[in-house]
Amino acid sequence: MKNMKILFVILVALLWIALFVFSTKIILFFTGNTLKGEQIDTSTLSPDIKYHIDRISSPEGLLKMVTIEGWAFNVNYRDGSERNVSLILKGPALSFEIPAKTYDSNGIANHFKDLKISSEDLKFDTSFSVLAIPNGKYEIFVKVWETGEPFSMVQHYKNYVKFGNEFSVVGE
Amino acid sequence: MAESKSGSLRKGLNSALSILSSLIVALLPYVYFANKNFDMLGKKDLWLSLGIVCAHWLLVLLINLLLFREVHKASLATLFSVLLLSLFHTGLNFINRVFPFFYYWHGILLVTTLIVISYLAFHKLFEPKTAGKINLILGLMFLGLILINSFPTVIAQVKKGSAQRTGSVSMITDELTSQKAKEELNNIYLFVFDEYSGHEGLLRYTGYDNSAFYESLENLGFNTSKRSRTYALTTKAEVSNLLNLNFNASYYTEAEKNEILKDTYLFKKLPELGYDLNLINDQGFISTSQEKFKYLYLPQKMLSRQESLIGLLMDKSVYYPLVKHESNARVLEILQMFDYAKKSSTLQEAGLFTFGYFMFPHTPWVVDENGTEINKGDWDNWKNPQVYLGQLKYANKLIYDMVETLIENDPNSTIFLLSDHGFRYPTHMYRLFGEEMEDSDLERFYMRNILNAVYVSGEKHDIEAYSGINTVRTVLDKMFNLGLGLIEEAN
Repeated sequence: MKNMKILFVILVALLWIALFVFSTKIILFFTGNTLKGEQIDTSTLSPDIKYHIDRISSPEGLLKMVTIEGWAFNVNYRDGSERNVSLILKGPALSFEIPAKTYDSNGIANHFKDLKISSEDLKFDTSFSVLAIPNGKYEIFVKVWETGEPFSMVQHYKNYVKFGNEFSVVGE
Repeated sequence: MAESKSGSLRKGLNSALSILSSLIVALLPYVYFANKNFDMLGKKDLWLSLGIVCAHWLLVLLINLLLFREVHKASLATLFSVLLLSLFHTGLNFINRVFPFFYYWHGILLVTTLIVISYLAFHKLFEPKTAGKINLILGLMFLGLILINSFPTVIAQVKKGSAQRTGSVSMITDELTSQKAKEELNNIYLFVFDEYSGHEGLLRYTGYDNSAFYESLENLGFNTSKRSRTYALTTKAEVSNLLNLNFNASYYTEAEKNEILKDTYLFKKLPELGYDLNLINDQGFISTSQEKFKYLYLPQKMLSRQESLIGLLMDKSVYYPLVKHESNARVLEILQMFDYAKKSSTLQEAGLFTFGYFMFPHTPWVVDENGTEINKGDWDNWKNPQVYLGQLKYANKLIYDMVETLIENDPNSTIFLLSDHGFRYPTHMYRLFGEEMEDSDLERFYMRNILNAVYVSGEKHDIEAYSGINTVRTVLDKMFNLGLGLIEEAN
């Protein structure tokens, strides 16, 4: 009986330690913020993409969320097509693709009126938790595509470094 | 019969003392933060926060009474858990300094475990009498802490009360005696913008050339200096220096700086010359007693980061993720200060000295150059100087708009635009991230580069490379022939 009690205490203690050690991963999973690392070929870049990243926020909140906002499109987009944007964080070992939500923007369509681009899905925003990616230097790629069509991508001119809870521009 | 009655009375008294002890412990964080920010709190805020703190304590106590079904143990458990919950975030920040990967959920797991273990211990190991004694001892200890903590605030309030009673009489007398002279006294405005970098410092740390702003001020009739420097790198020292027109405060202790801020040269001399005083006191930074001022503006009576006492208390507690940091409130504060500054030109035709301390473009950096609110994560982002630059550019717009109105309403006035120090980028990068400065003297030279511009009824007045203090001295000499002269420059 006494042995059973000791065994129970040891089991509870082990379970507690496991919960404590893996709690960040568990929280990321249940909040839908887990990012899957993969090998993504970023060698082919397209000169046809116009883009701008308006803001990459500092990590904030409990999950240290970084928000990225901007606009992007391929000059060859067809009118009325459904357009998509995602951001790729290319790290030292693995890359992480973060899908973005898109919005219509008459302002951007007007600005590029010479390109005769329609206003649908030109702006984007997305966010990710820095806790979900390992430490290291990251290149950022903007990937755009029309649903059912091949994608094209462009590399952002600034690189970022993730260290601990920080995500900041290299050199700043 | 009588014995059993007195026994039950004693039992009831002991139970009440136990409950009271747990309430006293629960109130300590409230008392501490209320005392710390007393001058900036309204009555409503104080009562509301007290009500919420008591309601929280009562809820925990009721849960514990249900669990333990005994008053002393329930009170002890309440005392223990309320303290853990109230100071959760403070403790988490402390642990974070050593273990950066210790997050909220780790804290929750740890605190829950601590509460469960302690409850089991209270239940199994403690007699109700022992729990009652522990409650009483802790209650007395915390009551002592509350009294020690509240003593300076009570003394300050008593002093303030008696000063206000005598102050109101002398103010009326002043007004009667100097009314005639006042008509000939041009209004003076002196604005200090905390952390507003001078031209050279801004160029060095952000790469931004602010010449256009200086030119726009000159077009309004301002005299400007891009090479001006301040004597110290802290606000308290430099504002004290400025209000006393010397640089002695640079060498004073914090307590001495606080003391000299209470009674400064400018707030004595200008009333002697017949001026009334008007103060814009962002964050209640200027500790000069309020009865000296005929007009006073304390923006929204808010705290620097949290906008209410209950917000501050919640931010220290386990409930901090629920706190919404209303940056909007700070933006509103800033806009209201500028609005009040503009309105200051309509308060009196003449004889008014307006002193405005703006903790702006100092952190928190809440807006970009267009006045759009920025992400909370960037409020203290020293790593990216562009965040500071955004707020500084917005400050340019607000300052320009303000002085344009002041000159329109009050063209014969004198307007000083100064800062207490420049952008202290290198010292913060060292303090926060350990980045060493290659040449600290050189960096200090640039960090002490300040905004220095003065409008003297639209007249020319050379202030090139003058410190803010020397600018004020020369202008006051020009206006009143005070013979102040120049002091050693801050090179």
